[in-house]
Amino acid sequence: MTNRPPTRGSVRIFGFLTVGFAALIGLCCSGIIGTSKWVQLLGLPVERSRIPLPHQVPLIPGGTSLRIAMVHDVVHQRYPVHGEAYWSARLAKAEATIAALPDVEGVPIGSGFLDALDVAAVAHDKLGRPDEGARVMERKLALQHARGAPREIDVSELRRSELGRRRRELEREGGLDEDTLALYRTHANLGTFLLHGGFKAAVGGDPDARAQLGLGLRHVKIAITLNPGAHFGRETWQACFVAHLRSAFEKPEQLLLRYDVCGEKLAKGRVDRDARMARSLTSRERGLIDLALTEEADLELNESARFFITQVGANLEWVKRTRGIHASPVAFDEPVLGILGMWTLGGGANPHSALALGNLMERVGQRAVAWACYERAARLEARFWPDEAVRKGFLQHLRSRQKAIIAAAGADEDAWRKKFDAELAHGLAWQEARMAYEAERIAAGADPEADDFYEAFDAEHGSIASPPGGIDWIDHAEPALASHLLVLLLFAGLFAAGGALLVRFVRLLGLR
Amino acid sequence: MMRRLALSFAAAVLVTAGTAAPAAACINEPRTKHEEREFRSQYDETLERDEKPANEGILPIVRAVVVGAVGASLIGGSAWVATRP
Repeated sequence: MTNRPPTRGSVRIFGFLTVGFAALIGLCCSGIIGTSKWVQLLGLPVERSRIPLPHQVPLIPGGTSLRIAMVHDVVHQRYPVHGEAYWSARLAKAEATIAALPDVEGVPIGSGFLDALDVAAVAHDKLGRPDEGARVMERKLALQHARGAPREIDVSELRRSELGRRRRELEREGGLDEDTLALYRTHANLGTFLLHGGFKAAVGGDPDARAQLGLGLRHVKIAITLNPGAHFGRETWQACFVAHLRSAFEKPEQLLLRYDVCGEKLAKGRVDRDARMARSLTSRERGLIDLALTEEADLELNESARFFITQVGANLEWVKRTRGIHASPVAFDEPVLGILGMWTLGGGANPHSALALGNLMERVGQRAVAWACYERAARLEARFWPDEAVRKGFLQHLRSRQKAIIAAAGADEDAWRKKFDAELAHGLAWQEARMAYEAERIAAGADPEADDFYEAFDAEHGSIASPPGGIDWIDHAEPALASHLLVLLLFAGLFAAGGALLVRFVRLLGLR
Repeated sequence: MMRRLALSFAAAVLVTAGTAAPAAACINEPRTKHEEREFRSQYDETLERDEKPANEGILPIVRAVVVGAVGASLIGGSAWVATRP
């Protein structure tokens, strides 16, 4: 048998098959390794999109979801408030309604009567008479008890998991009935007014005022039990707030200079570089968030989508000291929305709220907003706590955080402070103009509850809110299909080249 | 000057109101829900989903052309080299 030299045709076929096989291996290898990282490495075209961050998904479908611009606006007083004329006019109207309707135990009373009592009580509180407001609410509660409302409501099992279960039940049942809703309002208002009326004296050590605070907190807890999902959980955070301050009556520096009102440890040292509003998300998780933002969303879907939000609060030591209802970390937007609600619809600017907002914003990497919150807290320092040493420690903390943020951002502190001053002045001026408008229109006989009451003001001044912008979104880059194909082509080419070299080498050795 | 005075007055009113009510508040009256909705509605303006972030310009396309050309050349060149006798 003789070794015949290969024909020209067989040499070509062998070479072609070898190169083809090598190219195929190249395709497989790039497929196994993954083309996405090569697209990134080679800087090939990507398809860019904006993905909503999970805190855009509300706790309850259709409820309020946080925008970071809300925090910015609230600390700069860029939100509507009502003045004395407004509350006086509403009080007068409510008192006229109350006087015109029967108020006898056992006599059927309409919801209009109960609503008028709520308006009158809130108006008293807003006009600086919380004790009067509490008396009106006690009268309402007595009427409700006479109509069969439960006198004893157990709040001992008030825990987050229990509240979640109750919220789900209510969602399925289609919300509260009218009587329970009215009872919820009574307890929420009564608790609030008792807290308002007693707080100052309680901090000063008055035992009666401290007992009043305890009673107020109990009413707030009853309100939470009756309606756990109300006002984006504002009452829950009000209860935490009060529990935090009550626990600070003894050794205030150990609590107030270590934790914020939701139990998140106050930031220390350098600014956290990895702070984010959500952890990095897979495409499946992004899909879940997208779905939760559609009309198909339900409570369970929302809870699943909100799982990816950065969790905050409920430090173990804080939980032990406050024995509050907030005993495990929660998505950061929950306390933020609660504090914003208390600030805008309740007691207004407060150093504890400003500190908590700053701390939480820093925790999720919103440095500029955090700096502004700290600045606002510093301006409210005189109201932080009666003890001068505690106030001094508070101010030191705020300034050190601001310094750390400025260093991390490489910013000019004077420029930030000037901007803060200008925005705060703008917000206050807008609020003042709106209150003056209210007084003028009411004096002219307009009804402050009419839907078109603010029409002329809105037309002249416009909205005070900042545009939300892109802070609540993340930019996402997905390799384009063509880029994937190009990487495959490149790998195929590289392996094919290897195959061609092998063929030449084999021929060189005369093996084929 | 008058404007500054008015602003200072407004700030003083707010501070005084806050001092009188140091604890946070949760009021409930028939218009509370309306006010909450009003506050929320001001932030309803959302970015359009198809609003794309800024692109990186022409460079990625140039790179794509180069990668494609290199890949195709390597395959073509390899086939030519391997099939030469």
